[in-house]
Amino acid sequence: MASDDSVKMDAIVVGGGPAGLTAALTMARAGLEVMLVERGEYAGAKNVGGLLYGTVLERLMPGFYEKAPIERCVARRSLVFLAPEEHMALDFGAEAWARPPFNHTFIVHRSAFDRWYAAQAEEAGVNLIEGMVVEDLVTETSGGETKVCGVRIAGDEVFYADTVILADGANCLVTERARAALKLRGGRVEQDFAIGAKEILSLPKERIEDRFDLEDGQGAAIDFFGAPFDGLIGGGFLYTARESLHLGFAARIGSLTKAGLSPNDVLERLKAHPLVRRRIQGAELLEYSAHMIPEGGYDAVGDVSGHGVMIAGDAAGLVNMSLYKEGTNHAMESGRLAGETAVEAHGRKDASAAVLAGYAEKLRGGIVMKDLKKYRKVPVVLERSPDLLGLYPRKVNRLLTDFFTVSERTKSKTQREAIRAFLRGLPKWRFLRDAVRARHLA
Amino acid sequence: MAGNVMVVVREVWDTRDLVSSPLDESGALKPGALATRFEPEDLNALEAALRLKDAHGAKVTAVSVGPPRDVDVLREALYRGVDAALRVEADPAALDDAALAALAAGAIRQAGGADLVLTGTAVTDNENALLGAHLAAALGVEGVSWVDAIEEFGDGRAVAKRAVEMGYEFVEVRCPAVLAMGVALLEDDPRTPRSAKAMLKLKMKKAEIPTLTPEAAGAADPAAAVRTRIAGMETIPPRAIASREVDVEDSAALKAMLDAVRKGD
Repeated sequence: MASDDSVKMDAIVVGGGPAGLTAALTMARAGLEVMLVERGEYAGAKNVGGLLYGTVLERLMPGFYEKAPIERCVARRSLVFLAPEEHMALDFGAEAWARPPFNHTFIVHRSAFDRWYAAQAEEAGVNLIEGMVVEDLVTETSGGETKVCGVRIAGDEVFYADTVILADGANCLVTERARAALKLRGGRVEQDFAIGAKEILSLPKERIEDRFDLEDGQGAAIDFFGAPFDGLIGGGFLYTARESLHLGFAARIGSLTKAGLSPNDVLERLKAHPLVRRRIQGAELLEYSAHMIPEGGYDAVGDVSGHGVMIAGDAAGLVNMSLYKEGTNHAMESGRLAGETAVEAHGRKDASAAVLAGYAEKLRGGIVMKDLKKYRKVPVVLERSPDLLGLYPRKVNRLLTDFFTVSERTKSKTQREAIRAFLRGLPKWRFLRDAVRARHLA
Repeated sequence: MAGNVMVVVREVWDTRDLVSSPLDESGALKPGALATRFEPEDLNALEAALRLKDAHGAKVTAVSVGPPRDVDVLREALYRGVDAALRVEADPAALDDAALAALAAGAIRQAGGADLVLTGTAVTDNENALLGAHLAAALGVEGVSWVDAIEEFGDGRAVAKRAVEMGYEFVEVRCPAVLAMGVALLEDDPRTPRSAKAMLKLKMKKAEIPTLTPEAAGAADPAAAVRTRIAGMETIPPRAIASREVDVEDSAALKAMLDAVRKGD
């Protein structure tokens, strides 16, 4: 370390979420002197919890689930369509999901999990600086080219580094400054955001296991569509943690504004649905939180590197908002690739834009951008074919309930009526068009 | 002159933003229901100490009793710029201000004494503002309560500024002395606590903090130093207030409401 007034690191990471921690861990393991600056009081303080896909972490720390604070593995999943008074569910699971490696799908409390992960990074040698805000980047311009050479922390402290990795999340002010300063290109389309709101409701362990038909350590992940989200582009979820339930939803901010609904309104609607109400009855509210999710997908991802800087995780918009809702795993993978690229740059003593562009290349050639590309049309399809998550499932739901409605009518009459009711008000041509479009969601 | 300043800092329950009662039916604290924070009044005392360091080059040592729970107040003090930290091992939850003062005073003596000992006034645990007085008694030195600013320090004396009705008074004490920093009564409050420095976090995160046993701090049985006797406890039932609505268009009703408020109905 240099003198009191100027510290020069090999790398500085901005943001202590999954992307930043993975980048820092990767670099520290390779022997780099790394500093990570997290604005929350501790890593994870700015997040609540949810699903964690662990393939990247499994590669970095085999068997991490033995030690990490995991709430439950996901042994069962359900897709549930809600009509105002009816519902229709598709419930599936596998015994293998309840055995290591647990289908790499876990329910975690992010405040506990990220703290644990941060401790692993610290153990690997990362200098973890929590409760400090990076306000700006330190840049240097020569020969018409601008490079990032450090960060400015609130209170005007400057720290220098060869490489700065920005993992400052969805609301990424530092990344935006970097984009402006280095004239990095944005995506083909403007980034679009969803708002995610969530409640953590406490419920005793035994009641959760009885209610959701689970054994010790097993969890359920339920996705909700339909009535509570009418007029919105989004859906809800319910995850069972160890002694609490995570109930929430995510919806495009634009659609919320258009519908004139606040996140709380939607959450209340969801909780008021009889099926959801029964799932959460007796549970006590512990926490409420809301945060932003970049939902633009593949086409909203712009340049992710420049001279002296790389952008990872939500800050780069690497969220897969299809049914898989994969954010943390992508964040970790991008952090790992950015970290590896920084290690290479360190070895070559060259963190120029050309060398760090290797990160973008790795990202494009890897699972993150390939998956994002597969689902690139999701945002557009959901916007243009709102019936896919509204009218059609409601029709199928109605068909099923009509089919099984018991009355004194003959069965053939009941069935004929049911089919007639199903077809009534079903827009034929639009239905065909939407059915074709729906392939982009699968 | 340089001077030697010690500041006693506490980690206390954070009673802000409670979503539900942290107590169970028997009135005991539910485990995990409350987090802790750096006693805000002690942050003022810390700031006053650091100002003495800035102005006079005083050496500042932070002293605390008990292991860290959610917040390590000693490390936070290091992050803000104190020169040293000293911890006494004891369970602060089992102690009152007198016992806390006995342990802190023992630690201060053990560390070679101080020209000035600073602490905050109120504390959420007891809200009795007695720690300063107990510290002065335990150390056998002069003490001043509700100090808003330290005007002078050096040559074996210090001048404390206190806000009193209609103005300020200035109290001169011989060092060593204890000053309990008060709540912000100055028109121009100089004590806005500084925040932590990233550089200090980088350097001090793993710094070892020396720890004294209660024996070494001169109180082998801290519980024996507790003077508070709890005679009984009762909870105050919340007052039920019936709200009344007034039509904003109805000026007579509005006037009646204002009258009612004025009369305190």
